[in-house]
Amino acid sequence: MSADAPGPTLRQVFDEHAAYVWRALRHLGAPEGEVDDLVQEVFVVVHRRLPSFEGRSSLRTWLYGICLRVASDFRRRARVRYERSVPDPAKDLAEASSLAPDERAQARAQLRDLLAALDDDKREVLVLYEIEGVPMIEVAEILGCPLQTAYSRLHAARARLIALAEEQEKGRKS
Amino acid sequence: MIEKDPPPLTDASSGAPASLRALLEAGQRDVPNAFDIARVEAKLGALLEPGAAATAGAGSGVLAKVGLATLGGALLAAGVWFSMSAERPPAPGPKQLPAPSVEPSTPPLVAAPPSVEAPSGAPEALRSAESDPSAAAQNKAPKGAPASRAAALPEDAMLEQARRALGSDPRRALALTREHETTYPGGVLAQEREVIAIEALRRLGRADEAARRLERFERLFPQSAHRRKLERPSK
Repeated sequence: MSADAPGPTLRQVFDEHAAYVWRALRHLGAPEGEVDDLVQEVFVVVHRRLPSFEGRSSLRTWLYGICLRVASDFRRRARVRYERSVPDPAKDLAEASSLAPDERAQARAQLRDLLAALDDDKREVLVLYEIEGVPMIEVAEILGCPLQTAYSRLHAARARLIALAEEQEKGRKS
Repeated sequence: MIEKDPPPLTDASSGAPASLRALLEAGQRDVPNAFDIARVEAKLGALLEPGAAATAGAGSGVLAKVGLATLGGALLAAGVWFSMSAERPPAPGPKQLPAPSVEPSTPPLVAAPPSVEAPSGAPEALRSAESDPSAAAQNKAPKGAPASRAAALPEDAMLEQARRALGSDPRRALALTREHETTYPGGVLAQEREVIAIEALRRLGRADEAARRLERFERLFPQSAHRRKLERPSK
């Protein structure tokens, strides 16, 4: 960002990107009841760091980086607090199906369950590329890893996701 | 050799099962509703206002200070509340933010002043729709505390019920706003209650009462962000 041009205000960033941040956090595994607090947490960090945002990456890229750290930090806290068991997508899916009357809500719940079955590093790549439509070169930049590593994670995530989806389809048919 | 980006899974040529493609597309369309955003906006409160300090200083309580106080303004900001569907769950009250630990070295936030636009006596002044505001201002109930009924709904949940009832049962919505006035005479969501009440009166065809109530609202909350919405009656 040039020294002449004033940067965006927190209000502007919020108005333009709050929905994006909210969705990103959901897909990064934030539980339904925690999303609000995590979005808030992201914007508190944005508030602190906005004056030093230099515009070397796009604002979205920068925001996503903050989302990643907040989500990762949350997962770490959650693990400590609950020592949660590994999610069972098939079981969760059945529960989601029985609880969600609205089809779109059901689809979102199914997707969250599928994503929850991925390792954190693979889920991050997959969410960025497949859902947010971020080119892989930017994905690697956001995640701070070599591009080839990002591709490897993407391929692994896709394979796992496809396998899970096929498994579920088989389960439905049988 | 650097790979090329593969076709996304939502693309039929990717070979992904149709069910997975549909789920990913649903994910791409997954956006929060206005109420989701308003809740977060309320939690951020004064941080979003121009001039909120960005660095340094002590005082980690800024969010706790401004969260509830600004909840109402955000809930109905930009007049989105009325157009929302009736399927949402009741809004939880703002929680106190856990200290972000992503940047342990960053100094804590400085406390910014809450941006509550209503004069401090205004919520009390709206205690009764039919009463003289100046008399109502003498109410001694602590701000935001339920005046009666230990089992009363939280303030925001009560108004959310009223908001939901607007479309199908404006009479009930109006009754709930009265209940809110009684239960939370010093509540921080007085503006939002009035917005709902005015809309309910309009929907009940009680235009004169709605106009009087709007007039009083404008007098008491001259800077309210809800005025624009209220000045354009919903169809």
